[in-house]
Amino acid sequence: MQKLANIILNLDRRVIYLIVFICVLVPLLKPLELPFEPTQEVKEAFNDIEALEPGSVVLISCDFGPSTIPENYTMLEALLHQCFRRHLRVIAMTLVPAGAALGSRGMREAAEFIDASGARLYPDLEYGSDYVYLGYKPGSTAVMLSIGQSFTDAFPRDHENRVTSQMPIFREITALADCKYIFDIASVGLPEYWVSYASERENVPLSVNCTAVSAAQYYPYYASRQFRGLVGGMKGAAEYEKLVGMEAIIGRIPDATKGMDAQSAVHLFIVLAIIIANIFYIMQGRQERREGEVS
Amino acid sequence: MSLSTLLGIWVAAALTFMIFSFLYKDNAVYKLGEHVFLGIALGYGWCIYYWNDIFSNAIAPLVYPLEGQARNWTLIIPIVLGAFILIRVVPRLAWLSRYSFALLIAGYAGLAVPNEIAGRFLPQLVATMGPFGPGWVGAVTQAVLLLGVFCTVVFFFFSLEHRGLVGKIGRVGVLYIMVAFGAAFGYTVMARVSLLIGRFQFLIYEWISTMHGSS
Repeated sequence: MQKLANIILNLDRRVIYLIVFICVLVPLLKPLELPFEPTQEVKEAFNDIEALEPGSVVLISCDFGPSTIPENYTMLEALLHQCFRRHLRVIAMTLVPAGAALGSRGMREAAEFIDASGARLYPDLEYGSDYVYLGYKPGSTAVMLSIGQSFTDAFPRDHENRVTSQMPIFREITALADCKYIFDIASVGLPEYWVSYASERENVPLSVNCTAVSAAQYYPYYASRQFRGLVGGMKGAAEYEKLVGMEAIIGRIPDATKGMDAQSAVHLFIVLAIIIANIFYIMQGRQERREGEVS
Repeated sequence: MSLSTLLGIWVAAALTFMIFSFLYKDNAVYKLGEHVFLGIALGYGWCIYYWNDIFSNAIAPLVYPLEGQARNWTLIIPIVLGAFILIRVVPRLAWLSRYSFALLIAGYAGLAVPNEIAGRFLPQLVATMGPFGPGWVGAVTQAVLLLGVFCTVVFFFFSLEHRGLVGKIGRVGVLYIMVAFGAAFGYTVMARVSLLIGRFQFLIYEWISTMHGSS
């Protein structure tokens, strides 16, 4: 037993990496389809969007970069499909330089989505009237305050350099207060600024999809209802995909949902590793104490 | 699939393996991948900043105004103030940057203080001191929250020695902090695993699929 304890407690970290790799790889190749249910904080964000009147404008801020695609981009896809299916209009932007191209790709892929029959899923959508992607603008809080005054002043041109003041959507929607909802999809600390500089100031409800790293720190905002909903990490995105019915829309298991089996497998391994390592750690401590008493 | 997309996928896969090789041990291939990433990130960042900030906010309104709009000459003031910050590299003229920084700090403080107090501090305070309820579950939750806030604040109160009653309250505060750290760490593990899953999904569904032409 002492030998086994020595092996376990001095295990090469590369063995642990290998086991984690296997735990991720196997469920992706052979999905287990473990069940999961949407949590209250995700349901509330979803229900808020569902409750909006058709034609209402949702502002989506794509404040994430390529490193958090599994957690944030999956959410962006689900949210855009929900908005377009509900005939909500979307103004999207980003306050993160690395998010500029991702936001553009997300908007284009969702708006021009081709279904299984080969037809456009949302054939009536028109750029500039039903959706617009403003792109990146530096200055975070200054931009939030600026769109509180005027979208077209803050973003005279969109991501593709088109003049925003000539777009039909901005004849009706001049500033942030005209939007019915803000959804921040963030991998950085911007949701806290969206609360102070946009949502509370302009009285527009806000929900957030953040990376799992940030989720714990944002629960106070959800508890105080400053965040109407909180979609944390890939798990939250998978729950949102389930609520939106993404599998039926895109005709395959969506990415975040597909990753949940692997996530569960790795978590199970980590929990077991912590328990086993601690058992052997306690055993080794006892053994050393016993040896000390004998000598 | 276009050739550029195919090439992009293969380069991304190669870079993924180069970075993963660090898990075995530090090596030249990993270093190469790291440097390629840094170079590209810097170049990409510079382009984004130039076109979205310098060009659209400073150059375009002065040189290429929108149809029907006059050149915005007032922009020269912030451009000059911005140049003062860059001029710090000349020690003899570095003092000029103080005017820019003074304006920047004063302006930001003026914007931040009321927004942070009204938008974050007060609503959080109100939520913390909210009514006990609804029901006994809500009452217990609120009591646990209040106790946690009180004990944690006492733990961070350093004007009194942490002995006796203050010490005991501080220890309860430490327990709350530990629970918060545990939750944050659990979430962090989940986040990092998500990123690994994302890379594996890319390798399996995009990179490998290019080998048998399924996409």
